[in-house]
Amino acid sequence: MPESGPAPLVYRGLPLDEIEDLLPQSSAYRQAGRILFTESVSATVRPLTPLHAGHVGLLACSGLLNGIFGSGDQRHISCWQAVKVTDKTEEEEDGVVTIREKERFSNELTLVYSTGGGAILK
Amino acid sequence: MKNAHERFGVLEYTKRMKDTTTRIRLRLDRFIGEVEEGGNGKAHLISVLGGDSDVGAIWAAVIEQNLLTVEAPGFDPLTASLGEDAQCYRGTITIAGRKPIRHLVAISAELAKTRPGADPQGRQTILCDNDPTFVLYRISQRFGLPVVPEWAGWFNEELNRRGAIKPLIGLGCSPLLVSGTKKLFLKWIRRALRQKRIEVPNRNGPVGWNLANSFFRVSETGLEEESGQEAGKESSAIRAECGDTTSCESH
Repeated sequence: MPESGPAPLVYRGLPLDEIEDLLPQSSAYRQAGRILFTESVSATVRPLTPLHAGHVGLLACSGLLNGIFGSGDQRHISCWQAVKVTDKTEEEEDGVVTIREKERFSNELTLVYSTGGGAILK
Repeated sequence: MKNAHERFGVLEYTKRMKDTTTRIRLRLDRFIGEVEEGGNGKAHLISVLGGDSDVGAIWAAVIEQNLLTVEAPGFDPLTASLGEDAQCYRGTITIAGRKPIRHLVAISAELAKTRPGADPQGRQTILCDNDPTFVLYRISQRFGLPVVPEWAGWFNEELNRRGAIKPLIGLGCSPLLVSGTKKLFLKWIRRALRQKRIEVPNRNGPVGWNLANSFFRVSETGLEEESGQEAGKESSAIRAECGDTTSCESH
């Protein structure tokens, strides 16, 4: 019998080294990242024209104006947040209880003062 | 980065029907799980890779709340399901000369509720990283807490002192379970401000967070090391770093 050469070993599975490098760009991770990392929204640009009250209100409610404000005892950190609220109502008619749930979004402002005071405004 | 097979785990799903048994094994790159009271396993995040049909089968298993077995370096094999209302996200990884590789990330409902404003009355928060700055950032994002990054060290100490932090099983990350409500955290902050343990910084303006995306830190570290060190040394260093991590999946 003639002597054979060394057996060639070939890996035909997933190229894990390449995959590992590409995974951070995966669209699945990009979508899940909104839950896992929740990147913050911020706007650090100067508007072209002065903002009127309506603009400021919209920006504040969306959390773009969160930060540190005031001086002295009134120095505080503010944080606006959109909150999902579920309103539940129950109606009883002819012995049948009907439960209705309505989901809506509301805004909530949380304040913490440098003196230790705080408030949640809904 | 080299030697990825040493960092990946395996997810196995066995479906038994009348006369056939189907067994599917897929590579797992991230996992977050916990062992609940009574010894039952609960998965919070899985991230698996494979062919179209295999990934589709795992997606169906997640939806049907079937049990999946996870084997990975750093922890004992765990059988767990993602529970009700798990969320799945699918993607495709394309490598030249190969069929597209499907990627599935599935997230449990409990983890999905940690998105900002989703469950303001929540008592527990699952986090995919244990970095103190990231922990404070995610908790503040979830509950809308007015905080600054300078308080991260104090907040981490407070969580440890009060036993409000519990490490979870992880592959590729260092997950945590933080217990506490918005009212409780706000109470801690107000008390610490009164006691001068923390203070509001003397600069007005927005609060900036300098967060490194540490979820993929292992890969980034590996790439840096690859240029300067031998592959063997590199792989052992990486293994040491990602010793007890888990992967997670979402539906």
